Amino acid sequence: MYAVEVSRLKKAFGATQAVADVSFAVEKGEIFGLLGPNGAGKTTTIRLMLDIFKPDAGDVSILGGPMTEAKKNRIGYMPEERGLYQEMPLEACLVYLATLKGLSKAEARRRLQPYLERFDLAQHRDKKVKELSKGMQQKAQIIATVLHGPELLIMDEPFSGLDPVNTQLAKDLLLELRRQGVTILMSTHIMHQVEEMCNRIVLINQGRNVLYGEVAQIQRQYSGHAVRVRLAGELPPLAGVQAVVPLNGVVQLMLDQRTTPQDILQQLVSRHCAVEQFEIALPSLDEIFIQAVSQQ
Amino acid sequence: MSKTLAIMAAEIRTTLRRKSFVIFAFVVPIVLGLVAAGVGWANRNALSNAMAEAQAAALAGPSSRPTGLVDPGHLIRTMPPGLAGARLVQYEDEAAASKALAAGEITGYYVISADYVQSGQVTYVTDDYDLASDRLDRSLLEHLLLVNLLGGDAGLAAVVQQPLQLQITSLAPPVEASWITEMLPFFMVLILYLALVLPGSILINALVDEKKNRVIEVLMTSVSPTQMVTGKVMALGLLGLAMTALWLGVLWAVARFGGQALGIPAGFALPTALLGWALIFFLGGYAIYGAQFAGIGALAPDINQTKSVTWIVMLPIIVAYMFMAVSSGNPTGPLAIFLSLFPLTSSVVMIGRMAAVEVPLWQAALAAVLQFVTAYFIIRLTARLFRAQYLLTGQPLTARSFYRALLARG
Repeated sequence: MYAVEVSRLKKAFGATQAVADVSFAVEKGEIFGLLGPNGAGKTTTIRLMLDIFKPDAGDVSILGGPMTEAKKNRIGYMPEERGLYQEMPLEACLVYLATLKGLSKAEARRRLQPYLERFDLAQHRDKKVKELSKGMQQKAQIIATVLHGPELLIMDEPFSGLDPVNTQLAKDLLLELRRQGVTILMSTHIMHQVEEMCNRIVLINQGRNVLYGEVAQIQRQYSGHAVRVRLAGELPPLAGVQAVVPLNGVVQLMLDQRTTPQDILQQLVSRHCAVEQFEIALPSLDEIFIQAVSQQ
Repeated sequence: MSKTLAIMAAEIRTTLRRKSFVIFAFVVPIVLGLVAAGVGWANRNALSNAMAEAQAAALAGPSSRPTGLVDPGHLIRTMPPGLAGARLVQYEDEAAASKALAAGEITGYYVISADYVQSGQVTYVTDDYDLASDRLDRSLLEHLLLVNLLGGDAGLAAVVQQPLQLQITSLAPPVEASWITEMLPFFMVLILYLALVLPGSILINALVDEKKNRVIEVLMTSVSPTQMVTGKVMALGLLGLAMTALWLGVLWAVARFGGQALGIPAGFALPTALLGWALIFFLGGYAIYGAQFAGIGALAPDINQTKSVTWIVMLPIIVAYMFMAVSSGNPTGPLAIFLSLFPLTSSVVMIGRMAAVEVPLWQAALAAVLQFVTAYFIIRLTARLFRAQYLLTGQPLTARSFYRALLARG
């Protein structure tokens, strides 16, 4: 059973078709990336999943069926537009939001303390939210999303506004939650984070699926006919290589259609080259993203 | 239910942090009550001083010196008992009276002209500069002249002086007219009006703030629209009820304990039934207007756009307030009866009428039933506005778009 299953979703606002045909499934316990350029329909898809909007067509199954009031307590949602009560003290605000997710005040306070310490917010607990920096508010928003211990996290751009140190703190938390069995769906533009964290992705553009599957499989699907090699000495002339592209200490060898990576490796071994690194050249998700979107 | 209560508690805490609300709802009535108590205390002292002086004067009895009388035409043939000697001394001529005045034996003297029956002329001579002083006892001489003009019949003279001895018998409890009986309808109308308007405007602000702070999307994935709107409306309703109870309590205390010191007639008290009806009509009126204010808050992208729509929604109650406050409403007229039954105006007009006159019980009960039925339908209509398509919209709000959304199907 999937944590989330979306099938042939459609949603229009007036003349604008925000979501035209989106389908994907998120497995339990995985980190799933929902990717797409601005205006692709990511936020609308998330709102359809959470029953904030009703779809014009298609089906959504979340935690094993349609969205219900009871399921709201099992889901943590961090919207694209962050929202905290600016006039409330930080601790009161986070405790209040947790009580709306079914926790008692005492339990919310008990769970909050370690999070405040982990995110270096403990000394700011009595400050009004509006007195905190943007980064601090972002960390508070992450805490508000996870405090009630949800089974499913849906996070829209979770690392936006965070410096590298705090980004790492947030990443570590999400990876820890995944290890605990929490399913995480995150929408982001930062591709190297997707490569690092996500098991699978769906890329949507103009409201439609463009790519969907495991990250490694998609990268292989988009890989060119090339290998990356690092040698201890000089690179000898090799048969079947059309071009050599130096890349920061590594060389990328562009192969002709008849030559395989194994052919190149055999040539290097037979010539007694000291091979330090040999890999099939995979495109980055950034490259795949640009290529897939521009092809559409 | 626990989520609704959590929203309600949070809303109450947030509202109680608003200084303007706390000052108007709670501080002002308490201060007014204290001021009334202070004025009452000061007046009570002044009153007791005046009473002490009056008592001393009464103990001293009438002026120790009598008034003189000169009657050259011999009109006065009968001296009513109690006038001769101590109060009125007759002299043969004006010279003798003048001598007695100079000697300080009398305060002054009257001279009844010899042709009094034709001319009606009487002269009063005194050594006192202040002619308005209590030395000039007109009623004394009037009574003497009347008795003698009527041939010495004192009983007939008393009837002529006061020909109408009207005895009024009222079946209603006797209430002396005073400022409080006249102003009571106005006070009741004002309290109800403010209790409906103030929490309503705070409700709009709270919702618009949540949209501005972008919390609304988090709330929508945590609670149901019904929980959201019920929690908020109940919170502001409870605060409005507390505000109404406090204002009415102060009014009751002033009426109950103000007494003569505040010009409140003895035995006057605010009818308990009126206070009870005021709370009922507050709840019904708040449900009608509070729900509409919540709808405005749900639709408005910012607070500035709520003002014109709020004014239009409030128009019926403003008209009702003006009707009762400016013209006193003619509480038994057909327009007053209609407005006191019409659900959008009844909370103010019915209470105004009930404070002014005896309103038939069936009218009050009918007005309350109509109000709660209307409230039920308006709450159902406005609950539909708590949907994402409205809460997350940035569309400008106009009165037209508000009513179109309110009355939209589905």
